[in-house]
Amino acid sequence: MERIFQRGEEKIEVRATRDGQALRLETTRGVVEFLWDELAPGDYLLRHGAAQHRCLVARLGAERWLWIDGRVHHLQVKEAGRRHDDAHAGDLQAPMPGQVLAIHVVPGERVTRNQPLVLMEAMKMQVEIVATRDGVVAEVKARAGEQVPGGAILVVLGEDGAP
Amino acid sequence: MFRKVLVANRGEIAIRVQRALRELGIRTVAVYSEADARAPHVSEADEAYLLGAPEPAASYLNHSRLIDVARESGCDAVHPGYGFLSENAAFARRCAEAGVVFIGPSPQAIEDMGSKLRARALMVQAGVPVVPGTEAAAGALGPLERAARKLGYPVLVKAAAGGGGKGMRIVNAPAELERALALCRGEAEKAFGDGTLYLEKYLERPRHVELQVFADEAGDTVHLFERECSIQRRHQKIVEEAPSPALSPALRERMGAAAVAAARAVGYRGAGTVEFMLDATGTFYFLEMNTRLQVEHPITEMVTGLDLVRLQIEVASGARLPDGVRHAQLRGHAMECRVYAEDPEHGFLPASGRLLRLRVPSGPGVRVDAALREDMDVSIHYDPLLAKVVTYGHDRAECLQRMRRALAEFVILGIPTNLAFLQSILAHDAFVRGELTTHFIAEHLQDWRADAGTVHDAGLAALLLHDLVVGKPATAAVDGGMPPSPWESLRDWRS
Repeated sequence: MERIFQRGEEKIEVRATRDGQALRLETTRGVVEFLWDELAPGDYLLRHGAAQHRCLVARLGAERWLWIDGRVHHLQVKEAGRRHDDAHAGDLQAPMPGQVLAIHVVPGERVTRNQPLVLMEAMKMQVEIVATRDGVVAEVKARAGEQVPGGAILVVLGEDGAP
Repeated sequence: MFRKVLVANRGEIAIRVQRALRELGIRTVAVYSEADARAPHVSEADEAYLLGAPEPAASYLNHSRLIDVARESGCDAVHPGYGFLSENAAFARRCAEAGVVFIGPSPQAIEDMGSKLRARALMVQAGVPVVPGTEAAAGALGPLERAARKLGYPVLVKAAAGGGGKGMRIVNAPAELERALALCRGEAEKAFGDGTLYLEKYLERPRHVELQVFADEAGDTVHLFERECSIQRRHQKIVEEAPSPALSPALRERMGAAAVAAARAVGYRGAGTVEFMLDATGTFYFLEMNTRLQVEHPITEMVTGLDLVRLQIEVASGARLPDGVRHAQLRGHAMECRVYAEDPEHGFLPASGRLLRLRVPSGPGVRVDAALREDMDVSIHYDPLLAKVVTYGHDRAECLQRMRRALAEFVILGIPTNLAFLQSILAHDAFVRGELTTHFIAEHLQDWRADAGTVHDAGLAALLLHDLVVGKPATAAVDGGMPPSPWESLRDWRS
């Protein structure tokens, strides 16, 4: 099995082959052999010689969560970055999951860079989503009052004069 | 003693209060918003009542509905927790009118301490040191310029009705004063409907040290030592400890006396906190009084062996302060770390999501106050505090080692948290040496990154192994943060 994980700016390429309770891991750092045991669902013990690591793992869609050695790591399986890959330069995305409080523009409206287009709220914090450049509103995808996930496209901006 | 008490709050503090009530044999009544129907504070209570829509104004801040529930359910008293209605004099008054005890100070004391200028004037009268500053500063620029020069730059322009950093500006030089006044007045008028401003000397690199006070109906007033809360980001406390590494017994004595004087000046009853700024020379100034239980009250409980919530309830029901409180002893060292649902990869914005996996630290000297359950959704409607990790040790070094161990044990998967950031604070040399100021994070951790360090090969192996074992394609059907269907969850469990 091969995976490319995205962790912040870092891209991690790994390949693993399983043979019973043995797992051979290849990374850019080299090859390591582990013996593994599943203690409970998502709860693994990885042994390399006498050294051992308890790993707790959870996943949701392309998201991967890992606790190891007292630290939590958050990664994304790279091929699943569709939500973001689909976003174009003119798209304004929700920076976090939250509620859309107000939409200040309508399709066809001319907007200027830094003009507030959408007001969002999450956990008592209000955030203005502003235009990233001058342009014309091509499409409004969000509705006031709607709950949206992080990364959701709220407004699509077209080129000036070509909505 | 009360028979039944309504806890007008949610999350960890509601559970904390319910525990004290249960220990006293008092029935617990929970209230909840539509977003919280399955929240832990609801399922733990003896009775639960729906308040309304998720927005706080319709639910946890809804005076009328809360009073109705208290009456209908036959409660003797209401415990407001912290936040929400805990410092709302109008609500405290309505409780009294409805014949329900508000577990907290009098409405008058809440109001006296709620206005910054009035509190300042009362403190001056009571001989409590306040930050050098002016009275309400209306009108001509000339006298203000002279006042600012007399205080010495930098000075702080503050809104009398202010809070949350609004209507506040640091002025470093006389030339900046006029513009700062105009900006603050505009902000204050907009935010608070009151443009009244005043000037204060700006203290550079102070510590935030607060004193816990307690008073009974007879006016007997004591302090229960201090908490150092200098580690803050965006005016939000994140690490607190007791005692403060900066206080000598003599300074503790003086600050304690000032805190008691402050509480007496407003006829305070119950639990309260007097906040001070402390400079490097050991000079301290009154900042404000919080007329409620503090988030960080557990560290005081650890170093005194007292249960502050139980005491609140007993004192509100008319009991005198017991001898154990009047002669409380400070023993050992305690620390609290606040674990928030925040995304360090995105500027520490509040985060939400499903709690996919949870393991709470335990063992010697560790206490965790939380309202968490695996598979619960952390919503975007309320404060992002997930848990408070509190550790105790016979001295600061042991306490700190325990905190590091406890945070390393804490597993929260599915929701971004500030755990790694907390670990970096505790690992910093200046923190270890106890050199704390309210500018600690700005000075030492400005360039902190969430994704520093590498992921151990064993961890990468576990991630791939999990996909092999669970046996689904990398991105499955679940996309864009949609929750999995029950069928998928079931398959996960069985494989």
